[in-house]
Amino acid sequence: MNRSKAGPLLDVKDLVKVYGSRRSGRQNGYVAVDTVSFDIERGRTFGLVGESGSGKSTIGRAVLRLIELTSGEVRINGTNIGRLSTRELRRARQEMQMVFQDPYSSLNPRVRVGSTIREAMRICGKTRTSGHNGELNELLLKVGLTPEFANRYPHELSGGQLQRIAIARAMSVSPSLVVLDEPTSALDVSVQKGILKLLTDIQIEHNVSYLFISHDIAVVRAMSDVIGVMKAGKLVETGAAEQVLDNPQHEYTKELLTAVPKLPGESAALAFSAPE
Amino acid sequence: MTLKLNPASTPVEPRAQNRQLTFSYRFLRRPAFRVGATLAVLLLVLAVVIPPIVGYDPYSVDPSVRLSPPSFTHLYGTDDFGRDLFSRTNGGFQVSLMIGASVAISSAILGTLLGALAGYYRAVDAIIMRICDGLMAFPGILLAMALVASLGSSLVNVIIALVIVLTPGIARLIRSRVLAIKEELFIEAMRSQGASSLRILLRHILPNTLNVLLVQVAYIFADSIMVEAALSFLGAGVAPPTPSLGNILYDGKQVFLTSPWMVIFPSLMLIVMVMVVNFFGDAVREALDPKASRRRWTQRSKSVWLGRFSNV
Repeated sequence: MNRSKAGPLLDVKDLVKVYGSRRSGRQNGYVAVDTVSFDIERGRTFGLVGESGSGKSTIGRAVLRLIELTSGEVRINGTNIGRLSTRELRRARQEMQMVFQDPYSSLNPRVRVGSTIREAMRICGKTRTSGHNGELNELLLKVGLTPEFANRYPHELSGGQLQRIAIARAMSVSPSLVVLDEPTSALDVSVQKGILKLLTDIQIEHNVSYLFISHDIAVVRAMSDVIGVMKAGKLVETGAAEQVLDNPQHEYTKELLTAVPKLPGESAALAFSAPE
Repeated sequence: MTLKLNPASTPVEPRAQNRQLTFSYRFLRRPAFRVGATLAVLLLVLAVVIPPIVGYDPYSVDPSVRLSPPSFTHLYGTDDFGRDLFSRTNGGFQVSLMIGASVAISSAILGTLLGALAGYYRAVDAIIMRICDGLMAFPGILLAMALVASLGSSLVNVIIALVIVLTPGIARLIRSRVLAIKEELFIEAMRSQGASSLRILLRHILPNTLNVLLVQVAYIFADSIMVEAALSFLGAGVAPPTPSLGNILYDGKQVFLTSPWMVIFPSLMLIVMVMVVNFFGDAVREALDPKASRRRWTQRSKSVWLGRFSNV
């Protein structure tokens, strides 16, 4: 599965996304993402932090080309996905998957969750006929559920369970990159921990890369190897996680770090350590 | 891999299994459904089971008993040709039922197809919707009359005309649902999975439009029965001697003062039929909408009734 090519798995160069302007180059659109460049190594996690509206999710969607870029390029495994035809793009998307913030609405309410996962496998041509039930059960166990869950409808599951299903769906096609768009921010803290642990375990086992988008610094710290800080569409600071968080260079990063609420008596709210 | 995750905190407990089950369960329990079903059974017994036992041919003419009032030999009396009104009304019921069903099914299929295309592909949207606007700009009955007049009045042509008149409404409804569902997150999730447009449309969008379609189809059913009766009454519908509720009324209107049974029985039949179909439509709608309360049901029904009977 590992097509090892030299260079990073994901390479984003000068990404620009302007909303509300036509291709004709009118300048009055809203600049959601302004010349952002970064890359992600295989098996690593790039954490993208920033406040609401800073363009984090836009980058996540642009990486999968769920939205068209205004300019710049996104390369995965060296392939520029901006140039692919619709058909090639559909194939390329199996290399990269996405887990969304809201687990309730990211699954079709009328389809049993097992079928949802099976369909993901079928789309990428992974299931022929035999053995896919075994594979499905294995996946469900892997994400901490039981095979009986396959016959449930989304409205019968809790948020955390649904997010596990969404992760199982993403992992079912053995992607090399998963975009995690605030995967835990709709969940309560205890469930959050379980999900983060699951993601970490999956990463270790499958050597998958994550683009982890969140506004929660503690969570990003726990997950990321490299962190990028977004502000108003610009990537203001990038660097190794400890470096950015312990020794922030940019004003905005400092501001963001001091904005983390602290409980009285707690030295720092960043105590949220990597899940064991 | 060694995973010691907090294994999905709630265990799998048996529950009301799925949406379909819950839906049919709720549907069957609706008072509207029960009333409708009772009436439907009575109607079917009256109009389909009893006639062969009584054994009158709706076409056989007997001038000696022209316009005789209801009696034990002729339950509903006879018409101006001396034909048995009971069997003619029941024949009309069957014709109406056939027209209603064919129109409802055809316009549902056609409307869904057009609506799905228009909602999903921006390019065809403008074209399809402008045509629909054009068709909807005419009063339905007028358009249907014009179509039947140009096609010639036969059962099939009446069905075709009604489908043309009623399809735009369905197309419009489905389009609006498709437009809304298209923006849902789970559709974007499917796209990020690499699903093709066709798969997304057929497997994920259309099934989610089914509920509104079902309700609409029931009302279209009732509508087409009414419009057909109106067409036949105006002489532009099903051509005699084939009985239809409308053309019996048409014949009856000249003799209304002397032989009112020619108007009363087919009218009652028409009213009950439309009521039954509307009851079913309401039951579907309520079963799909868990928030629908009794009180709102009566309010809504009232407006539906008035609407049904006044737009023809």
